[in-house]
Amino acid sequence: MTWMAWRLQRSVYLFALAVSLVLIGLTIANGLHLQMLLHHWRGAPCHGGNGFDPKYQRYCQSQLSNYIGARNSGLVVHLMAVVPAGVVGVVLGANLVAGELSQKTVRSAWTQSVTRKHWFATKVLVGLVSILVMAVPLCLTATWWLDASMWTPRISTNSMTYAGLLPAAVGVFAFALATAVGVILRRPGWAVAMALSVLLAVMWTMQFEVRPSLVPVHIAIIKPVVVTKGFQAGKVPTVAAPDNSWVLFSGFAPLHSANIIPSQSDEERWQGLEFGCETAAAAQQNEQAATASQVAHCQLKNGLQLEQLYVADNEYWKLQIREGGLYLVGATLLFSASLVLVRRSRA
Amino acid sequence: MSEKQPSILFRLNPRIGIAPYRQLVDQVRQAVELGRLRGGDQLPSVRDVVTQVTINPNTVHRAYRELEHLGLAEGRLGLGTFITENPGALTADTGNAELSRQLQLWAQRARAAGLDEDDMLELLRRILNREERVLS
Amino acid sequence: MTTPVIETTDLAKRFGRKWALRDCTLSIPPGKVAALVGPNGAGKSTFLRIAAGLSRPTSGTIKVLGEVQDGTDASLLQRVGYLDQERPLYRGFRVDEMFRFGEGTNPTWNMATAHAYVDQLGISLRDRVNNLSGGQQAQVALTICLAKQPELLILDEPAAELDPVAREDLLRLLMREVAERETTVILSTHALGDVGSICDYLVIMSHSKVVLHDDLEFVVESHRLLSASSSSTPALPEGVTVIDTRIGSRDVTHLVRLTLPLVEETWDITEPTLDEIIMAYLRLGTDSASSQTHVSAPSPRGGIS
Repeated sequence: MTWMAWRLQRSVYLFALAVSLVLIGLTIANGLHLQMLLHHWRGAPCHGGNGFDPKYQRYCQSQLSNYIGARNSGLVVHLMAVVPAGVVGVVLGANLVAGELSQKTVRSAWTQSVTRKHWFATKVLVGLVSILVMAVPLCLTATWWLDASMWTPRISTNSMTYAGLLPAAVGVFAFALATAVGVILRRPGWAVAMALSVLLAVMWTMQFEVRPSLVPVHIAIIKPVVVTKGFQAGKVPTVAAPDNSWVLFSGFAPLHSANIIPSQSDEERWQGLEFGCETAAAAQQNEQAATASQVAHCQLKNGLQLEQLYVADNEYWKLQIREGGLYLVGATLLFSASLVLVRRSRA
Repeated sequence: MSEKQPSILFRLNPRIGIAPYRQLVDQVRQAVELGRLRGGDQLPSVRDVVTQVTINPNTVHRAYRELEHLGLAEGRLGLGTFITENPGALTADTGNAELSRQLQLWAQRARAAGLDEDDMLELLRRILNREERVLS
Repeated sequence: MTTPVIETTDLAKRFGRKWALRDCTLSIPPGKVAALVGPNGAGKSTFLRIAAGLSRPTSGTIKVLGEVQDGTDASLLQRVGYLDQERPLYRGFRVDEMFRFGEGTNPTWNMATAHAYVDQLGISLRDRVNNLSGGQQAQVALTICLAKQPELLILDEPAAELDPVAREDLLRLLMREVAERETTVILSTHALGDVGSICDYLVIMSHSKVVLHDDLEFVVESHRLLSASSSSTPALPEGVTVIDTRIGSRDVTHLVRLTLPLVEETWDITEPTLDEIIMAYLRLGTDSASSQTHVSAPSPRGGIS
């Protein structure tokens, strides 16, 4: 039975495995290249104790733009783990039951001396092991690449789903989802399309709706510091959250507001109040220094503060485990539902 | 499979409406009458028959039982089914000479009355059908 | 030995609003080769799939080899072999891989039998199943059923769409199995010729219902053709049920089922052939049937067909 489960997914899986090995190779090459460019920019002579010698300015700027250019052209590289894991999960899942239903081979399989439960469990197990064997190296590579390329803080939205445990968890979830959809639709082609759309919707919801409530969000208030002299007069600091945090909100909010992310309409309303202060001040005075102090005053009068809501970098693994756990719980439920349906299903 | 040639090759015609077991019985009887099967000849095993013609083994068993019942064959435990030593005595020509003679006479009269071969067989069949019902 | 291989009580199956099978109560004794005959859509495949545990009845009960069949008992699944109408084989598998599938899923698998059968049929183990002819695919599918060594074989139109040589080979393979292992077989077929030669039990289905099930011997014995001149039709004797009636310009012929021994002199009585009996049942309730109300047009051939 194990051999059978393997034999049925063999060609698709080996193809996916080959593709993922190529991706790993390309990602490592790209990561090393970015690392080298970073090294050129951040090393001597561009990065010394007190900035760099003006005579190297052009050289250093070109090093920086080399790195930025290379990073931007490799924009899709950060998807190298989650996309193959998800796609392989969907394809294997859609074929797991629906493939046999549409080919009618279930009529052979379900009349041999194994129960449907045994049949289903073996196939799921073989699929899971295969997905993990493929996803783990992908996850490791993606994690290394995000770090090496200094892509974004690893806990930020642009990195979180694409490295750590999550690509593997997404792959397992995609496998379970496509299996369940396949049991219902009984056609592997439709199951792939349907499962992919549902998977994207689930991932979007997870990222934007669920994730912020999985770990405590901290608040950092930016005190209005009025600088009266110098080139940067009137500017207030814009960052208060610790380095490498995941910043969920950055802007004006009422004083002493709780550390919950404001709704879109609140955010716009407060932004409007703040903008009112700025235009009022600008109308009275042309001098920036005075404007800044009046703006600060006006903000206080309106009861607004500049704040940032963030999740600190040290919550990374906790968040990974909680979100990955949710995907795995979802997968377990979907497999159970599939098994119930398989046992009742007509061949 | 045994290298030995079967003593009789059965044929089966599903279209003539005669029960398959009856066809087998008739073929053995005919072979005995024609002398192609003699006393002591072994009939092919049920297994061999089903590889010769597409027939239900139970039907072959039934035909062989019928042959034993008729005294044409006998089962020998563990060996198979064999034609009995003096099968000729049971065939129509010798055992029922008187009946055969009467039937010949009847056939002549029937022909004289304008009945052809099919008509005679049909008539005989109807009579036998009625006979069976009276018996049952 | 006396436990029926299949025993159903009021078995019924509904798909949406349509009944595929209704009021099905029958019992098939062991050691038989039972034929399941009926027009397309009569519920034959539905019945066989329920018996194989692939489908569950909407109501009623089914026991297979004495056990309740709901497809969840591995030890019962092991005792039953099922060959689907579509003979599904895994696309892209070689013959030996199909056998490996059978070996991996059946503790009683006999690989020697499987190899011997395909060897006799001239099929190589290295052949891909998609490249085999329809007849060879059916042979491989049947071989998988046989190598499992079941007590009961359920075959849904095993010989359909095969050329005459292939069907002959297939049925012979099946009969040899019956002779050697005394396997009980239930098979559905459209070929009435097969019924007489390879079967000894008959189940006729029509319009989702079982209309006749009996030992083949008794089927012929319990039916008669009654004919009489249409100008002076006598009353029907007691204890007969009219199955089919054919009216010619001169005479009337009824095919009847006997429930009592026939003591009758007024009707002209003949023994029908098996084909005639089956056809009479298959015509029951169809539009092309000569109705029993004696109003239909005379059959062009007059009398029995």
